[in-house]
Amino acid sequence: MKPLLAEEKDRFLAAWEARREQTAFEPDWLASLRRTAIARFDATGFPTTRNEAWKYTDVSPILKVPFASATGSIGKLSFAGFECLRAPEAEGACLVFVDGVFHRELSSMSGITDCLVVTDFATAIAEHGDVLSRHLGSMSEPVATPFGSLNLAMASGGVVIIAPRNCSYVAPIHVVYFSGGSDEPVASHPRTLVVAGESSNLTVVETFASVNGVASLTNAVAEIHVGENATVDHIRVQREGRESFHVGATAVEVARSGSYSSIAISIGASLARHDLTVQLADKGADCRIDGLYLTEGSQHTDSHTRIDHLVPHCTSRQLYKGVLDGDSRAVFNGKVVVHHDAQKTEAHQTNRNLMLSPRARVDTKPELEIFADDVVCSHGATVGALEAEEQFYLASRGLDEATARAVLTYGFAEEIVQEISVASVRRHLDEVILDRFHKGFSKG
Amino acid sequence: MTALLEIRDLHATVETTEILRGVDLTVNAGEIHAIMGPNGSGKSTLAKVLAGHPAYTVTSGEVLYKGQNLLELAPDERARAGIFLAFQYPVEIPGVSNANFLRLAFNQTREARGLEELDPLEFDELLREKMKLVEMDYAFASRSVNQGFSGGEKKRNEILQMALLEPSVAVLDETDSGLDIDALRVVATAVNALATPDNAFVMVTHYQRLLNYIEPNFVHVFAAGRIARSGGKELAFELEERGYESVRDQGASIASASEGSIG
Ligand SMILES: Nc1ncnc2c1ncn2[C@@H]1O[C@H](COP(=O)(O)OP(=O)(O)O)[C@@H](O)[C@H]1O
Ligand SMILES: [Mg+2]
Repeated sequence: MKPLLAEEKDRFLAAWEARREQTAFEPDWLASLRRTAIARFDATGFPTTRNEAWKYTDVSPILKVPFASATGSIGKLSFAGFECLRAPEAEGACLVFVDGVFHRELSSMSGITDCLVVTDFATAIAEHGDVLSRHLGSMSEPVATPFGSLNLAMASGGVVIIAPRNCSYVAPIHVVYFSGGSDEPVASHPRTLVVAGESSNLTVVETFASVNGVASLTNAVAEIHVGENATVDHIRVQREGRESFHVGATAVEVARSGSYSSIAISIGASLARHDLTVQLADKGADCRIDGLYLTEGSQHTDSHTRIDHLVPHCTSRQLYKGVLDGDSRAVFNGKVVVHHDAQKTEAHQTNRNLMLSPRARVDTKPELEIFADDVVCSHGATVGALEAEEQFYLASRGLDEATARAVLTYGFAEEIVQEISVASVRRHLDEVILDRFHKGFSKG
Repeated sequence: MTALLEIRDLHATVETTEILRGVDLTVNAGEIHAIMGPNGSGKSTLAKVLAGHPAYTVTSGEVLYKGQNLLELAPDERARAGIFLAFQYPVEIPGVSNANFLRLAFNQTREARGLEELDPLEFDELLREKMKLVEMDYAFASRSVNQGFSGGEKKRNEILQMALLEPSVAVLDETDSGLDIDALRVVATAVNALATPDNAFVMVTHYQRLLNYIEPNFVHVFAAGRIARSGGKELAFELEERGYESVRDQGASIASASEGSIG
């Protein structure tokens, strides 16, 4: 008997063979990385639900679709359509990709200062090979997984951001990964690499979008190195169309006194998975990771996070919230590992789920593994309906039941959205949740 | 003249425990009542039963509001009809801005009273004015409802809501507890400014000091789920001096002495 999903794997291997010619010009270090990655993918194959990390997320529907390789054409789409995806605050540095292919004419990079490198993957290979070869695929987590390996083997499009020491770029850098430029189902493997040098300061927005009506697979990886005393604010918005599949991994390493904050939003796609791993690698490193998933209909979304406290005196805080409606399903698996030496760790993790429909289902598993004794840690998960005391409070102010429910549902989601530092991204999401939960409740 | 609020032999339970054991109280328009009494005697329970909290079951007795059966109204209907409860422990509502919440509450109440809704700009003007009254910084308008507010800020926010909603009967549940003297003065000023011959206030309080700022018409002592004694302002001084024990000691005789409704 053939192993599960073997044929599907073969199709992806064939796609890799087919693009070897295009990558012939690549330097040896990269070619060798890619060979190792594809060999690893070949050895492991796609995960099945027998794999603990994929227990609740069955990827076989993704692999049934015969994906073509990306041409990068924008087909019938208009420039204006892309315009509204772009955050105006990021006018100076907005890079747009269609099916993983960089589109300079849809992008704007006028505001990038001398100190900062923001460039597409192909240019970076040619011009910043030293930085790339040091950092690309250096964090084991996103690379070791089957989808991560496939991304490293296949990635041709993506963004490389390098902020040297003391470089402070106040405006956000926006990366738009758009899928479904053609009518054919397309698979793309975009890759983001951020290297924030000592005492640098960056805000990076990743937007994943696609049109409704066309199936696509986006298999994205982002690696983020937060240097000593550096700050990286990362906003990741997955708002793809309802026929799309999204698999994403973000791997972060935070150096001494560095600070990483992330808001991961998942509202689109029929099936979405996001893995976020943060390594707090040196004293004083801090991360705050927040997330919001909204599902309805038959959507499925899976958030896996892992925070490693490797050394003493690091802090982490996590709040992931979900609002589930219809027959949708969500998975939350959040692991916090406090390693042996990591005394004086402070780690707090919360997952809260609001169920709007009796048919929706969430599988939540907060996990805390502590191997040090002098720590302050908490974790917890809730699954349920709206808080009765909150409902009564609103009722006691004259709000009828339907309005009170709508306000509380809106507020539940908004607690995450309001933390987004880029106003246009925040406003857009605000509209989405207003529209979903409370049509009459306009912002004053 | 019908009383604004008439509570007759009210009994209420939570789960299977009886907490209110025959409350009688009549509140007329233009009056200010103070309710004092030891912790756990049922004062907050009375306040929440009046507001319609679903955790409490009224097992007997009645409550008439402007001559109508209050108990058959849902909590939001009571609020729109003019009943207001300033909570002892106001709830935090993350993600909902105070201004939006207040405008919704205000407009739903206006609509129920047959008045025109205010648009966001008009409302903002009114909000600023009322926030001045309770000496609350305008920054609190854009913050999430009560989230991260100090105890005193939450209480001011309750009074702000009261000022906006202009209820006929306002029950203030220990709004003065934990307030410094400045905040106390703010609460008192607001109550005095809002008091008219057409509305009434019921203030649950532990402290006679509040009554230095707000002149109550009646003082009631709550004990073991009912009003054990009623009197004028002098009763508050007596309690201050001799404590609730003096009331408890008199036991059943006091309870029967208060059978007749006040006011
Ligand atoms: N929701 C509830 N569930 C269980 N017991 C309650 C509840 N509310 C009140 N009680 C009980 O009823 C009694 C009266 O409480 P409360 O009305 O808060 O008193 P007060 O406000 O006078 O301090 C207390 O013994 C309290 O424990
Ligand atoms: Mg109380």
